[in-house]
Amino acid sequence: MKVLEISNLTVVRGGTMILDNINLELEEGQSLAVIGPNGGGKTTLVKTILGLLQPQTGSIRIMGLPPESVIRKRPGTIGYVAQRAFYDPDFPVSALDVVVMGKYGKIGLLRPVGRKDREEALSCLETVGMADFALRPIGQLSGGQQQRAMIARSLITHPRMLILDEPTSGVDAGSQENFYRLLRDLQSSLSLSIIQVSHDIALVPSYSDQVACLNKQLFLHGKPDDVMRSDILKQAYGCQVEFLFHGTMPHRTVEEHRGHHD
Amino acid sequence: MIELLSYQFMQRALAAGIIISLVCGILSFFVVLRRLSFIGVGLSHAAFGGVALGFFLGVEPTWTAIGFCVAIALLIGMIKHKGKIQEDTAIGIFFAANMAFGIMLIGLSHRYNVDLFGYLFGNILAITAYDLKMITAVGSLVLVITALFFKELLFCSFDEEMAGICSVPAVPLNYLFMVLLSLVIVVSIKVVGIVLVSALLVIPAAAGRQFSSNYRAMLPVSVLVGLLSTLGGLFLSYRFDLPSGSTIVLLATLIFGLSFLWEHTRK
Repeated sequence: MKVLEISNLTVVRGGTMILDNINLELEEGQSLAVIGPNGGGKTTLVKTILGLLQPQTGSIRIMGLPPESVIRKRPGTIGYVAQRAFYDPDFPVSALDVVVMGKYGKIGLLRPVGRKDREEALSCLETVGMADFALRPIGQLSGGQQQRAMIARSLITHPRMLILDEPTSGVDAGSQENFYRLLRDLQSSLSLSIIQVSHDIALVPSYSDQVACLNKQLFLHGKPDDVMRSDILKQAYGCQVEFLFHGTMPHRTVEEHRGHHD
Repeated sequence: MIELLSYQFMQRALAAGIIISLVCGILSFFVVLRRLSFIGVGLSHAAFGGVALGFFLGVEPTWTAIGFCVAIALLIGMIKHKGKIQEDTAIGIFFAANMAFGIMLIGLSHRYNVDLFGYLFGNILAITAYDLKMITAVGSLVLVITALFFKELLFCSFDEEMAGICSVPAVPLNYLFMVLLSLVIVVSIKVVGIVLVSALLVIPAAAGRQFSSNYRAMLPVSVLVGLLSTLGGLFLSYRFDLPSGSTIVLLATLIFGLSFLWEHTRK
């Protein structure tokens, strides 16, 4: 079953075409890395999938429904982890409070948070290895711990699809790989579909089933190794590409960019 | 102190003070968490436009102030939601424009009105039975609505966009919050005045935040700071014959200063 179907999607903002005729499909339980340069439209794609931006043409279907209907009628179907965990580092809530927030929409208006909701939140924190930090003020956690808490928040509604927008930009390099490993584990244990948007071409693709390169157009949609071998990356970035591979691939590949920068 | 309470005007002042500091304490919690400290200034000056409109038309200024203030609050919310300019820019525009509108109307009505001074600087000792009824009605309404939507308002203060994605009606709640603020500002004006009311919407929670790293503690502390400043200020203003509004605000500022020192010497 397809959890996400994007067809002929075009997004224009302020007179500039940001996304040009995007087509993308994601099967249930699959993970997709969308990589591409900054300004290539990655965040716009995420916001359009979440229904925060309206496309000029084309359509998005999540479990067969447009984004706004999914959010309105089926709270918690999509989990979202943003680039910046939150705005105010001193906001007076604990990690557990933040995780429970993820369920507010599902609990509904005029209904209080129950003890069961808090227990569920704690078990979600346990899933991401953060149970010991449940009562810590969220601002006192490290970048990586905060993002784990944000994943726990998105898990509390048992989502079918998880969307992450540059989730490791505030995470120190040493913890990034653990973070990706956690996502891969969640994907298999919860049969979760995951879309991760990133400019980290070194690590993210090796933890995903499929990779797409986005720079206004979606350049490719295939298995990680194929993408990395091809010239497509260079085409998407338009310049020299340097990245690390894991597993069977050589550990460092530097492709010289021939011709001029554009 | 006991004989003070036998005066009816003092009883009304106390009742009004308690309700206002309770409601302002709770709203200040959200104002500070949403980083909207400037909103109180913007909306109280909108209320000035509304009060002047009441004088000009010869109707009860509280009603015109409520109508005008709510309209401006919704407009500020709409500009934030739809427009390309930030909320603080919108507040900055309306803040001056409404003041100008009010001054123009007062100029046009060609009569010097003593009451106007009361609206600008407040006089809690001049609270009438009618004022107290308004304060009680509006205060209870705002308290009930805030309690009903507390969890959603908290989430929206933390991360409005994420709240929306989590199926919380963030945009309508934002408008609701602006309306609640307007209502509270208008009824608080009698107590501390247009010029000073914004202080009650910022200082209590600013002090509360110094004492606590969780909202469950911050909220009651904010309310307590509001109550202490209002009741203490009221007593001091009576005892030493000082203007009530400014005594309340200065006492609140003093409490904030102490809380700040306490927090920073503790570290």
